[in-house]
Amino acid sequence: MFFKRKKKGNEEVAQQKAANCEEGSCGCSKPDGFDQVIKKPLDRRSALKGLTAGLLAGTGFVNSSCSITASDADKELSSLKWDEYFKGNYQLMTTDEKRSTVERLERMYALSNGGKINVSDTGAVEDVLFGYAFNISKCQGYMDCVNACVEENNQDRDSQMQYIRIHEFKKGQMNFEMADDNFYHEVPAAGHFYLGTQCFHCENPPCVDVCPVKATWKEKDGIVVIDYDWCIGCRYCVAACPYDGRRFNWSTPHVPENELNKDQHYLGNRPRTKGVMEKCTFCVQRTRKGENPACVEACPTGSRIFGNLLDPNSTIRWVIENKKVFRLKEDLGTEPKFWYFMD
Amino acid sequence: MDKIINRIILPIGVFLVLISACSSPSHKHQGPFSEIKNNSNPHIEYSISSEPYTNDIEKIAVTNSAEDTLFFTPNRVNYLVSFPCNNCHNQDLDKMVSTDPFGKNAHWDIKLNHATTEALTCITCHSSNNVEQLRLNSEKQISYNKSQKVCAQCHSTQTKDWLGGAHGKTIGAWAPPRVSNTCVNCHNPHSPSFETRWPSRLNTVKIKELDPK
Repeated sequence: MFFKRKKKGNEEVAQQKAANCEEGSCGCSKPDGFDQVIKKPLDRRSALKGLTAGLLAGTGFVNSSCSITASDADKELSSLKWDEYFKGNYQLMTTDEKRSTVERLERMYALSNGGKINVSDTGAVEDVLFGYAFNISKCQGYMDCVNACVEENNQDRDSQMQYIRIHEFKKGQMNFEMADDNFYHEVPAAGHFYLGTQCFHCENPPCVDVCPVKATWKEKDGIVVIDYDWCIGCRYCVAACPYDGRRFNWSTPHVPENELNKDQHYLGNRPRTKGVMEKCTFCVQRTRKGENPACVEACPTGSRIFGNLLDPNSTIRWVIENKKVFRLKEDLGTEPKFWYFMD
Repeated sequence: MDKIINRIILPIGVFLVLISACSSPSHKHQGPFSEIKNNSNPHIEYSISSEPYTNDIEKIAVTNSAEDTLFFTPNRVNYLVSFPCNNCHNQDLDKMVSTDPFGKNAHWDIKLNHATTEALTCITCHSSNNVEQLRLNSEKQISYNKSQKVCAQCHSTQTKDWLGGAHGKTIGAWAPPRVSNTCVNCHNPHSPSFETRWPSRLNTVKIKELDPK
């Protein structure tokens, strides 16, 4: 009779709750998030306040684009800024819209900085799913990969943002809490091994699930990307990522003009703004053209292996099928496409 | 009767339903392994190629025993500083004997730091009667462009990994055709192990500690 007894108990609780509700003393009568934000009753004062702020921003654009004194370049730039401000989520754009968006970015750079950048909107290559393998017997902690990554992906120099972390472990254990991420000595240190982490481009990415505005998603070739202009900077994804794969721009990112990598991709290394997320994209601007990611190219030890998981003749497939491989936190079911192996 | 249903049949039923739900093929999490298995294609027609990233490299084919090309390595001979050897040497190696016991021999700057001198001397790898070629244990002579065959005689595990792609470094592009460094592109054959050095950059936090400005 256990089930029946329990049921009775539940009913009692429900009845009690209902009674409390009528008295108005419990939380369930409070408006939920939707009611609070979207169906918010608007008074005259706050409506005017919002409208004025919007108008001020708008007239700024319009003023410079219609002004007689402003130069043609300024007018064009502000009209482009206007279009840029109202563009949609990259995922929802048609091929033509993507093309015009990246061309607008190129034109805006030419108008404001006077140089030429190349922003790509290349999509995923057919029959390609990217995968990565990292040889923990070979990595020596030289950090050449980190340098190459920073230069390739236009990361903020002031805050020294880095996508890759190289962890130094004492041999005989692999506890990340015991790892030294700030090693400051000649490498490799005797009795130590090195393990690099970055975004693992999970097949079930928890960061994508939690994004409230769909600013991050998994592309067809398995790369998890971010629309930097759609990100609201809530950092839910940082909390959701079990691998410390994501980075946040706490300040306005700064890259010296002569160090800027002008070969860019909309979802890759184009310059970011303050208050948005960024992370490793497997160098989407390079890899979708067939080239190796910058870290793979820079590694002097050959610890980094990159390729197409769907190609049975690829080196990455050979590693997974012939070496003893493992992934981090496999029990979470995130299915990272980043394998570690030993000689 | 009511008791039996509640205590025995109901829990078993719930258990069976749960089991069938867990093992159903429409399970939400399909990992990369199943995706790889379902979508693998041995005859992918790539629209991209490694060509644009490797066209400045003169390539030498690595072949298997059936002479099928597996992948490519960079030409080695083009990068040797003093090659061909007959620019300086017009005699075979075994006829070149130093006459000055205190002077410096040719190639004095090469220090052999590879295995032990009991196992390896110069003429273990260099052909003593033809300096332009390398030597295999079978006395077969082999071009500098195929030097990996010399290394493979001892380092068979590394060679197996290198042929598959787990050891060594792919150059330029992940897209086929594959071009990989050969042994001597990364390892100095006279002193093959990597040396310790300072990392090329330091960690962010460490720099701040050292230079708070």
